[in-house]
Formats: sequence, C-alpha cells, structure tokens
Amino acid sequence: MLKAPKIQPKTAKFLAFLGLGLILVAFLVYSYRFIERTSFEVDGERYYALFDDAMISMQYARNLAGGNGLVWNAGGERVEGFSNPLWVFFMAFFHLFPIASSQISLALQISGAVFLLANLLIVWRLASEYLEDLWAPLLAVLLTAFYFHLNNWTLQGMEVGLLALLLSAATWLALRAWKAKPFSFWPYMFLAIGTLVRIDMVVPLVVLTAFFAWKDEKNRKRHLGWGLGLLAGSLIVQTGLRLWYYGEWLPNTYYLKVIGIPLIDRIQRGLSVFGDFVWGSGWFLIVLPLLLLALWPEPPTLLFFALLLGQIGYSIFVGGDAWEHKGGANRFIALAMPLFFLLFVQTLDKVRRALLQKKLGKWAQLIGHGVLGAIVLASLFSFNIINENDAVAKWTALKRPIFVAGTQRYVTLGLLIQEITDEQAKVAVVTAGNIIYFAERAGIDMLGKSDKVIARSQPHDSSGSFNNVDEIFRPGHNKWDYQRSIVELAPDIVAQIWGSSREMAPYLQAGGYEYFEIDGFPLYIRVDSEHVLWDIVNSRITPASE
Amino acid sequence: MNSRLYQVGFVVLLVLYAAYGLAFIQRTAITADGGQMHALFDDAMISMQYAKNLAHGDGLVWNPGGAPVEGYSNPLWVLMMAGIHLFPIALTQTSFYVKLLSLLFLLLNIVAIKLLAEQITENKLVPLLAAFLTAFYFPLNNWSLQGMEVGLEALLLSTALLSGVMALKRKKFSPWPYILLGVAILLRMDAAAPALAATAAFAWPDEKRRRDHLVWGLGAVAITLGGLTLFRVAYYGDWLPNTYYLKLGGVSTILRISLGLRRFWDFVWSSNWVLFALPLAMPALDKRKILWPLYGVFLSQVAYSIYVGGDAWEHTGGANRFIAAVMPVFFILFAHTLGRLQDLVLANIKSRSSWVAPVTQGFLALFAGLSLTSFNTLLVQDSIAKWTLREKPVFTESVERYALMGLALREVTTEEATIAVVTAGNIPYFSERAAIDLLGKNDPVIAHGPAHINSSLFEPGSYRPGHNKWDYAYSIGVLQPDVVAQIWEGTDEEAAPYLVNYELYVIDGIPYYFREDSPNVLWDLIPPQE
Repeated sequence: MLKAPKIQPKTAKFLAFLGLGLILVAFLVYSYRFIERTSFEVDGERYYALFDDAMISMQYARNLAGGNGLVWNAGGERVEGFSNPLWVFFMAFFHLFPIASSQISLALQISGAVFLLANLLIVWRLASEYLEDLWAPLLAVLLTAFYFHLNNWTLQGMEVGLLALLLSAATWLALRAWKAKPFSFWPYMFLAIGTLVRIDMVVPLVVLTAFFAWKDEKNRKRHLGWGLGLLAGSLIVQTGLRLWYYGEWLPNTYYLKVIGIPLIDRIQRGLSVFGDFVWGSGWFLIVLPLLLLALWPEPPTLLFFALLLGQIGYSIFVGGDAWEHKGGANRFIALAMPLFFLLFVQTLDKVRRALLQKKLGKWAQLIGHGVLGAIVLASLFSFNIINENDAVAKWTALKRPIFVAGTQRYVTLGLLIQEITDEQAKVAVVTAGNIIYFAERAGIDMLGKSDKVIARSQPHDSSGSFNNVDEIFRPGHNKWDYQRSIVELAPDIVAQIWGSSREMAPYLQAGGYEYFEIDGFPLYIRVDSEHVLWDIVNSRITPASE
Repeated sequence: MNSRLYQVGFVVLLVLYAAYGLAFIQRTAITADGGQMHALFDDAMISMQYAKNLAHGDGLVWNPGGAPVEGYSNPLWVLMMAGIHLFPIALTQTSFYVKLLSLLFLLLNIVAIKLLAEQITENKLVPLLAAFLTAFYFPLNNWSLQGMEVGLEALLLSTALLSGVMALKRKKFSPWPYILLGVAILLRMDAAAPALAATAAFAWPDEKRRRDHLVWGLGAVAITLGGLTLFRVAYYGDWLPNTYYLKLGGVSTILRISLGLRRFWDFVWSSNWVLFALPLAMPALDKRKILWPLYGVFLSQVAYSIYVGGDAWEHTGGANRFIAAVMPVFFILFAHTLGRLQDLVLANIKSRSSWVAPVTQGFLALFAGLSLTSFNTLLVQDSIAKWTLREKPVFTESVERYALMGLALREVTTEEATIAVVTAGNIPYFSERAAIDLLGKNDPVIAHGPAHINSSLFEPGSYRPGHNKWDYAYSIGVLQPDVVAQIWEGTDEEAAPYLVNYELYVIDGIPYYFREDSPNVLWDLIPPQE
C-alpha cells in the first residue's frame, strides 16, 4: 500500500517559507500587471492616474508641494475637502520631485503595492502567532494577497493599503505583547498614526483600547492611558490645526456627508449595503467564522472579531461608502478583511481537526489539508465577486479593473479642457479629481466636497428603499446647488452634469451657456467667456452626424 | 425536540405547503374574456396535445390524423393527462387538474422525504428541515405545478429510496424499490440512470441479497425500456424517440458534456456553491453505507444532466428538470450534514445547560431558511418575489401569451388550417388546428437534420437542447402552413425568403404571418390593421 509522505518539521518549515515566498512573488507580479492595467494612452503618451477620489487628494498635495497651501484651487478658498491628511502629505512628498503629471500617480501605485506587500508579511507573522497549523498561515496570506477589493482600492491610490498595514501591525504587536505579558505602547502608536492618515481609525483605536482594558487587568491603566491619550492627542492636534488653517472644527466632508441626513437613513443604507456585501460574497463563507465564537472563543479570536465588527459597525453607521453598487468590500471594511481571513482560515482548520480525529492515518490528514486548500481557493472566487460582467477577468487583471474606464475618461477630459481654455478659466465638475488635476484649472465642485456652501446645504430628496440603496442617498453625492455652482460662481465650462439635464437646463440658460460636443465630450461653455480659446473649440466640435 | 411538537410541526408544514401550492396554481391562472383559464408550461402542453388526441380516439399523435411521431419523452405522464381528458372538462380547465395532481404528488413527496430522513437519522430536526427545504424549493414546485412530470418523478424516486432503505435496515429484500423505479422509467425514460445507480448502491452493501437486487433492478430497467422500445417500434416505427434524434443528433458528445458541466457549474454557483459542497463533508461525518443509494440517485441525475448538455431553460437559473427531481434527496443529505455538525458543536460546547440544544436547533433552522433563499436564487430578476409569489412565477407570462395566441388563431382560421409554431404546446392545443413544429420535436425531418450551433467548449452560445434545429425551406417552403405564428429568435432574416407569400397581421399586439392565398384563414375576422 502506498504510504503517505512523512514530512520532517524542519522540511515543513522550509516548505512553508517557500510557499510564502512564492505567494509574495506572485503578488508582486500581480501588482505589476494590475498597475499596468490601470494605465492608458492619451495622444500617444502613457498615463497613470488614480481613482477619482484619490485624485482630489492629489490636487491638494500638488498645491501644497507647489507652495500654494493645502487647498483644492491654488489661490482659492481654504476648504478641507479631504479626510486623509497624512496621505495627502505623503502624496505631496512625491510632488516635490520633477515628475510629470502623467507619471506621478505611478509612484503612489507602487507605494501602495509596497504597503500591501508589507501587510502580507505582517499577516504572515500574525497568522503564525494565531493559527495552530503550520500551513494555515499560507492560506491567510494567500487570501489577503489576492483579495481584489483591498488591492483595487490601494493600487488605485487610496490610503486603504496603508491603513490595513497599520491595523495588521497594531494587532500583531498587541497580540505578541499580550502573549509575552509585557505591556507595549506600539499598537496604540500605530493606530494613532492611522488616525492621522484617516480619522476613522479612531474606531479600531478605541476597540483595541477597550479590549485590552477588559482582558489585561494588570495593565488596564496603561492600556487606557496610552489608548485614550493618543486618541485625544491626535484629535486635539488635528482639530487645532484645522481651526488654525481652515477656521473650522470639523472637515468639510463631515458637513457634506452628515448634515441633513437622518441617522436612520444612514443606518438603513449601511445595513442594506452590508447585507448585499455579505450575500454577494456567498453569505455562508462570511458567517462561517461565527462558529469560532460558539466553539472556540479564545482571546485572539475575540480581538479579531472586535476589530472587524468595529469596522463593520462604523461602515453601517456612516451609511456605507459611495461606490457600493460595484459590490465587494468598501474602503472601511476592506482594510479589516485580513483579520477576517485569519478567522476564516482558523474556522476551517478547527473544523478540519474536529472532523479528522488524530487516530486517522496520514493520508486522511493529507487529504484534509488538500480539501482545506481547495475550499480556500474556491472561496477566493466568492470573496472577489463584483457586481459587473467579467468579475473574474477584472480580478485577475485579464481585463482592466473597475473604475479605470471612468478614470481614463476624466483624464482625457481634463487634458482637453487644458487645451481649450487659458489658465484663468474655471471649470465646474462632478468628479472633482482627475479633471481638475489634469486640466490645471480652478475647479468648482458641484457636489460640494470642496465647497463649504454646498456641503452645509440640505441634501436632495430621496425616496429609496432597501431594494435600491443608492436612492436612499449616496454618501457625498446628494447635495448640489446649481444656482450657486453655475449662476453665481459662473464657471467658464460646465464639464459634467449630475442628475437630470432637465433640472440643470434653466441654470445653464440663465448663465448664458451653450452646448458643445468636443472630441465626443458634451460640454456647456459660457458663450461670453474670455478664458475659452474659441478658435480651438470651433475647430474641435464633433459634427452632428457623429 | 419532543415527539408531539415534531409531528405538529410537520402537519403545520404540510398545511402551509398546501396553501402555498394552491396560491401558486392561482398565480399561474390566466384571465381571458373576463373568465379564468389554465395552461401549462409549453413543453407540458405538447404532452397535453398528445393526451387530448389519445383521449379523443385520434391516437398517440400530435396532430389528429397526422404521422405518428413520438414527440414526448414522458409516456406515463401523457397517459395520466389523457385520463383527465376523458372527463367532460373544457380545454381551458384541463390544465388546472394536472396542476392539482402535481400538488398532490408534491405533498406525498414531502411525506416520503420526511420518512426517508427518519430512516437515516435519529435527529428529529433533520427530517423537518429536509421536508421544509423540499416543500419550498422553487424549481421543483415550478416545474411540477406548471405541468411537468418532475413532481411525480421526485415522488417515485423518494419512495423507491424509502422502501429500499427500510428493507436494507431490516436486512430483508424488497422488490418495491425496483417496481417504483420501473414505474419512474415508464414516466420518463431517463429515470433509468437513477434506477441503475440505486440498484448498484443497494446491491453493493447487501452482500447476502445482492443477487436479488441485481435481478430485480436490472430486470426492471430491461423490462420497462424493452417494453417502451417494442411499443415504439410497433406504433411509431422507430427504435428511439424523436426527441433523442432532436437533442443528441448533430452535437458532439464532448461539446455537449462541456456545456452540461458549464450549466451545472452556473447552477451550483448561483445557488451558493458552499451550500452544495457542504454534504461533501458527509463521508467524514457519517460513513454508513445506508447513505449510498441517496448519493447514487442524486449523483446519477447530475451526471445525466451533464451528459445531455443540461436542459433547454438553464438561462432562467435554478435546478433543471433532471436535477430538480432529486433535489429532495440532496436536501436530506444537506440537512443530515447540518444535524451532524450540530452534534459536533454540542460535543465541543462545555456548557450542558438546557438552552444549548434548542439554541443550536434554532440556528440550524435559521441557517436552513437562509440556505433556501440561496437555493431559490435564479438568474432572472426578482427571483425571490417570484418564489414568494409576490410576482408571477417564471414562464407564466409566456404561457399566457401562447395560450391566448392559440385561442386567437382558432377564431380566425378554419378547422383545416395548419399553423407553424416554435412553441409547440399551447398554440396547437388551444387553437385545435394541425400544427407544424418549426423546431422539430414533432417533426422527424427536422429532428434528423443538422443542428445550428455556435457554441464552443464551456461557452453555451446559442446551444439549447431541442432548440437548435430548424429548416424553413422545408417547414414553410414545402409544408406551406396557412399561418406562421412564430419565428425562432434571431432567425428573422433566414425565414424572410420563405415568407414572401405571407402577409403580416397584428392581432392583439402579436404579429402573425398569414399565407396570402390561404382558403383556411377567415380573412373577414382579422382585425383591421393600423
């Protein structure tokens, strides 16, 4: 009878390291391919650009690096239209170098890949602390490495990868310190840095503090002191700087997303989109780790659950994200998904152990591991589902990822606007990132992220339900005021419209705008504008027959 | 769970299901001329057409007086339908009784599933969960309550397994499983696949009675298939049904199997693959050989479905007709797996409080409820609304259209008229006119002809079993129907040269081509065209 191979512990450890190496190399190849897939050519030049929200931060970063202050429009009003200050500073750093605007996003994308790679190493260490089986950490790393949503947000320029790294690192250090018993302030330090990257990181900071204050009785005071102290410090510093620089207590995005939107609407939408996420990911896989709570509620498991539930709770509280219609984990949940994967692998491994008692032979154990690996691989497909055609092709970078088609359009439009206007032109936009960044013109943000007046206005009516969550509201996308953005601020070009053109028409008429289709882009141009290069416009008008 | 609660729970389930079934039937009713009529899924109406002709003394044929062609694959079901036509029931109501009979079979099947589950486990939650999942499984209900033989096939397979497992447990031989499987083959020939699988699965573990199993099992298959073949040769002059040539001829086996695999994968994926994979844990949880027949019957139907390239309506999602019939068996395995996992959970929980067992049972019930929602997720929009009857079930709108087309064509044609159709059930049945089957289910010329397939490995393209053969030069050019009621989707250009002598008229919003020189069209009754 064929005997199952017996692997010596040393060899097994070597093989595990080899497996890790292979995953990391595969991840690097994947990242390279992914980033390449997000680039495109405009007029023969290759462009790299980020997801539009990240490009808003890039616009602030460029102005900061260019000595124009932390503002959206150089020389414009000071409005805090970002919620990721440290990330904006990080972006500004790259703008200190003479890098072409078509290439600078690549630097951010590469740094995103580096953060993700570092996160994989931390997840490996964390998994090795947490999981009992020698091979199981590989599976957790594999799931994290090829989780589309974490990769997509990060490699398209959002701060999610860095936040995931900080959260994983804080969790790992906290767990290691707790096991070894000495107190460490580093977990709190990492999360405090996280709050500077994005203020929402106060959630895991509070959760971690509360958890260890509960579980580590001996060091309770130190946990509370460091956790709450750093939390207060970070909030005070940020608020102080905001008051000094912007004259505001809260960021403009807070007013935009919270004022006028009832808590019940936010929670309704948050629950609904979370339900969609769970259902879309094959709900059983998402709820499976709850078995750990029932059967093996060990402290590390409880910690991971607490951190994960903190992020889920926050996502529900704020009504989810603005791009939930794409499916998958939103930015708030994606950063905690590595912790979910640890719980997921732990559950499967515990069940495997329970099903295959030790008395069974080596073959059964080997097959058990094989089945475990196969389930994890198949699950990866479920976790990477998006609400679009060719989801697998987009995940595997056989096709270009979601958002890229929009990015390309906005970049091309920005370059076109630069061509047909002079430097004093003002452009009204809906997507306030790429167009303004590449047009290098002053922008008017019709959805109010960088406009205090609109951010403080009441949202437009909504009549949505659980069946159509984007009709309840779309965070940051439900306030506009055409009277202000078009008639009062009088942009030279209205580059995009939001909602129906019928609603906008009277304001365009009152402002003296005419419709032009240039290079296929529909634009409303103020006919008396002195900042529009009319000769070029007239030569580029798309004939009606097209 | 105490015994009384268990039995009451089951009775409540049956009552709820009966109410659901009646509501379902009501949801498929058609309002016409101020009254209510009933019709079945179009393929079932083809069988109804044969049944009507048989009951009226015209023989087992599609068109009275027409050539004998075996355009059905469910002989016993056709006979049962013919029985209904022996009663003085209006054609607009016969379908109602077919639906009602199916509801009865489905109710009996739920009872059989509960009894079968009781044979394999002591855990009382398992039979209840299996019965619940079976009762409210949309594809099984939809196929059955819209007139297909799937409900009866499910009942025959479940009862065959029940009697076989009971005999196995008593360590006695019983011929009943094989008699019931033989009846299933008479109902639908492809039941030979689960019959053979069940025979093997009963014979293998029962060493002492292995010979009896093999003799009865193989005998039942041989006698029924042999009997059907003899009848076919004698009556239709053919060794195989026309549907065999139609579906299997002209399509490579490799392509068919690859498409069958693709269809099966789509079904599993859309119903949540993890839930389907769950019973795979069963060999680790329960190694008893008594489960083998259940695995055998379920897997044989899946294999058969893959072998024939799936069904023609896979685009709607959910279990096709072949797999839907054995989904109750799957539900037993699924519920049994959950029961065993519950045991595992209870064994690992240190607390021995009295609330632990009821709480885990509650979780399992909740889990089964959520799973049912996954199993009932189709590829069509609003599938949950269709399952819960907030919207009409799938196929109902097209059935209504075809039935009303049939009634409309009866009004504007004489009894001698011939009508070319794509959907060969409702229109011929309600128009009561001779029909020409453009897709060849009832036309050996088309069925033996080449298939139009633009599919590749694992990419279904236009492939739909039984819907890939047509020849307008023959069906319209040679046979010259008085009316062309339908053209197969995407073939308008191909049909156009043969419709030059036809005039397009729209009646009640539906376009028909009438042959310009037809004496069998009541031209005065055709409404004026805008």
